Amino acid sequence: MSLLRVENLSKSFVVERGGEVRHVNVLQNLSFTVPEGGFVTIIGPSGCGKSTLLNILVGLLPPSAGSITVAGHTYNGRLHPGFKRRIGYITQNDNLFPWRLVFDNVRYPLELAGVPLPEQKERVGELLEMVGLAEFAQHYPHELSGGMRKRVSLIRTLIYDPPIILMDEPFGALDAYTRTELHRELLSLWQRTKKTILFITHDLIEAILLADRTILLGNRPASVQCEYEVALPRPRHLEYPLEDQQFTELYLRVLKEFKR
Amino acid sequence: MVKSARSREDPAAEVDILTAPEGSTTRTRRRLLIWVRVNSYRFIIIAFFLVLWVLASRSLGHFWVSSPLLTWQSLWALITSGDALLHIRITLFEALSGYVAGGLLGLIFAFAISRFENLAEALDPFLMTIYGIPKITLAPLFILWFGIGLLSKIYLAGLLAFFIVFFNTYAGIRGVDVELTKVARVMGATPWQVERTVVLPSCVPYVIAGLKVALPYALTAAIVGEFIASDKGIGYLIMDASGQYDTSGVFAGVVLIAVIIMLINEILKTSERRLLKWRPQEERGTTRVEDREVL
Ligand SMILES: Nc1ncnc2c1ncn2[C@@H]1O[C@H](COP(=O)(O)OP(=O)(O)OP(=O)(O)O)[C@@H](O)[C@H]1O
Ligand SMILES: [Mg+2]
Repeated sequence: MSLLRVENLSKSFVVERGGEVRHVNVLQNLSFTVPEGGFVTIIGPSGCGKSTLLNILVGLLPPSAGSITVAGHTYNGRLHPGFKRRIGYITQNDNLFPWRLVFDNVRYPLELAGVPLPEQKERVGELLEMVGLAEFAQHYPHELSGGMRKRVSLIRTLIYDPPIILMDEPFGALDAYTRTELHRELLSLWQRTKKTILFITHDLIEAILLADRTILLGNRPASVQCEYEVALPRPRHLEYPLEDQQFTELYLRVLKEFKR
Repeated sequence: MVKSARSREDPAAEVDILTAPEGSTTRTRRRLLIWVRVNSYRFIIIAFFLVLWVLASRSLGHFWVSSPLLTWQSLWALITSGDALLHIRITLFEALSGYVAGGLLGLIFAFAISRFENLAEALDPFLMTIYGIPKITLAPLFILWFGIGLLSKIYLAGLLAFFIVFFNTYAGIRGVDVELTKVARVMGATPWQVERTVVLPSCVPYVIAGLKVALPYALTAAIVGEFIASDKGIGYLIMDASGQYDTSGVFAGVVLIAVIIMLINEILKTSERRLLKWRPQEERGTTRVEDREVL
């Protein structure tokens, strides 16, 4: 069963410059589904509308046309950012609150929901432990490295347990080593928690490496160019994926399509 | 605004402070070195200033420029007679009451109108006009309306504090990172929760900047009010001395004001450091301040 279904989604921005009104079509007739518990990656050229797509899916931006179905509910019209906490969103920037300690950042969603403090403490403690940041609970975000901030931003979303998590090029700005570490953590987390993940990237290797299925978007206005099932066995070779013959075959096939 | 001396300190010493482990001897030694250096610069500046002062009073005569010694004598007389304390108390009372009330109202007003976008837009041209008016010119009117007592000075100080804090807070609210408000919404924050947990805290640096600038202005407003009509306060003290051609008395009043401002700045600096400890060091004190032509 698909947990997230997108049908004929279109988006155009209206840009006004000096009395002249222009329509910028960013998404055009986009349709795809994400199965429950699946890991789907979306890859597309820079500026094709990937972040826009996620903003629409998460309910921050109204679509111009089309519909979004989350767990059987079809949403159109009124916006509900996060669809009442059914969708988590890891943005391109980590967007931690700079004035809150790591501990207070992570517990933020629980605070909003009025969870009592002792319970918040326990949950935050567990999650910080899980990503190895227990000793940084009392630090401010600017005192952490980029990779650590990503981990904090990830567990801040996990703490309220949304069934679907959207991720927008979350590891784009990290070095290769940290990135692999985070890939490993993300995959093990996904397998344990059975979350449904939609992951955006502009890196083809990353897209194939993590996914059950990868969706290629074309240039703006973006629509689905093609989809690939990634039937490679797990666990995958996260460090040197290109040493794996099956991986390389698939990679080259997708690359050919991607270059078009 | 005065730039912090930090940026001009020896960069090598700075790096060592950051990398040397907390509490290590290099770290404390370096810190001490910087302290000594900064304070000896200050000492030199003060000495230089005093020499200039003496030269000026020698060449122009004591009637025009009182000497440091004569100023000190007048000041000492004011302090021992208890007059200094009395007048300082009056002026501080006027300035601070106006500052607290005006600042608070400015803060509340900024949040109130930012919640109604159309209202903010409607008010914009009027606010900008008021922003440009030198508000101190209203002092005579205030005396006319509220009498020569303390009240007119409190209102005047309050007016200045109100506008400075209002404009700064308002700029802060407009400068809130929309990305942060968006992720907060996604995490389930209601609009009211966004206001309280995102907008308010991200405005803090702006509000503090406003409060910091507003305090000396509130003091100035009180003193200018006293210049125009009063029977108490430091402004009165200065006007009184000037009426009697007592140049040393005028100088003594100015020195009193300078000392008060210095103390106030010290207090503000410490409280700012405490409130903004979450900001990276390099960013502290960089918040743009809205204080053009505010007087
Ligand atoms: N509010 C807006 N008004 C007008 N145009 C916009 C707006 N937001 C985005 N766009 C346009 O939509 C296009 C897609 O932007 P988007 O941020 O979704 O790209 P992206 O695929 O995420 O790119 P990147 O990989 O660089 O992050 C861009 O060409 C951008 O100029
Ligand atoms: Mg993007």
